[in-house]
Amino acid sequence: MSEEKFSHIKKCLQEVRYETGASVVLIADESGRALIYTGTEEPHTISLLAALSAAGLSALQEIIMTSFRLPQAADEQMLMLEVPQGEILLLSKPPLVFLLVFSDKTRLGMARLLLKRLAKEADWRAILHQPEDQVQQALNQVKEEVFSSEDKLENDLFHTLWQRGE
Amino acid sequence: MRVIWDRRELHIKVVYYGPPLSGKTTNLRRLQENIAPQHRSDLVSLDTEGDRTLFFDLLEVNLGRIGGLQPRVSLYTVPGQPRYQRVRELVLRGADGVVFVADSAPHRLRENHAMWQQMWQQMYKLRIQDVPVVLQLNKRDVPNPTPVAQFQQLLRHPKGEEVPIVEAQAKHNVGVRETFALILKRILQR
Ligand SMILES: Nc1nc2c(ncn2[C@@H]2O[C@H](COP(=O)(O)OP(=O)(O)O)[C@@H](O)[C@H]2O)c(=O)[nH]1
Ligand SMILES: [Mg+2]
Repeated sequence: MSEEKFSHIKKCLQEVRYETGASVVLIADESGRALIYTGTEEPHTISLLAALSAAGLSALQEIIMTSFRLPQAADEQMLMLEVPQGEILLLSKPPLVFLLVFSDKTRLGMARLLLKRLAKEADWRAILHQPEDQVQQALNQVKEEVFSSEDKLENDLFHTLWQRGE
Repeated sequence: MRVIWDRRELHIKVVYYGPPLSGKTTNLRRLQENIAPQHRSDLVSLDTEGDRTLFFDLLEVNLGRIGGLQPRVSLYTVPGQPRYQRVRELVLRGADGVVFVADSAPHRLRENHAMWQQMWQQMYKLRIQDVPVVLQLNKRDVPNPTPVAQFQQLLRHPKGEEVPIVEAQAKHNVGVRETFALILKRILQR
């Protein structure tokens, strides 16, 4: 998405976070990749939250479909999860998943309302859009670097990844 | 693969698939132990019952900076028990590459085969049938391991393509890194 759209959406997320007192607000895709978020810069926490939300929501849909013998789950589902990090409110709106992590100050009613509004207003096409040419160019550059020599990946990459003393 | 352009991140999702207790979690555990902490997350296991994964394990590895992007690899395992078929499908969604961890114990051969079939069914359903697959033959240290040729006969690619094989002993940290490097290479080569 364009820098402009990105900062607009990020601002919307920040507003939701501010108004609900949530510790994290995040948008992920259905395979569990964090797309845009606010509240923490700890990338692993974010990845885990995104993975959890995608999986949790899919599981919920599965349960609903089998319990009520529905051929297909409703598009929008809301789910509250309790994890060691706290309580999480999830909202699925394919192809995106919206997530909010509660703090002591967060009230459920407000969180629900604002998350729903965010999902309604968020332009998912913009969120998922990528500047194809630039992305392709960047990918080619990655490949070029990784495959510049036969054993480059093995030697260089894993040399930095692997702990010394192995 | 997905590039999150605004953060210049390249997201790669790899799923370790296979029958229960074939060593999927052990693979991730070894990776966690061997990869320097600044390049990985902790291994998170969701809901384990004994040492069986009920939902999934997740380990994130960041490869630093390559060609202007920051590749981040999310490694997932799936629960192998038959009743978790749907969970496997959910975790498999959006995978960029799959490692099938087979169990070389001779009495597990049929289970390997059943899971292999199911994996391909799910990959077709999810339309990821063309992503790279690496076959890891784990537990080569067990007595009378199933011969490699027999695995090749039984675990065939649905389109007859060649599936790269790594012989491993995840428990003893053998073949774990090779498997990870190989799937990564295949994914990036596409
Ligand atoms: N003999 C042997 N045992 C292994 C090997 N790799 C893993 N195991 C053991 O197999 C059991 C199941 O491993 P786990 O990783 O939990 O299996 P998962 O269900 O596929 O995640 C554990 O007791 C491991 O220690 C191996 O290479 N050889
Ligand atoms: Mg496991």
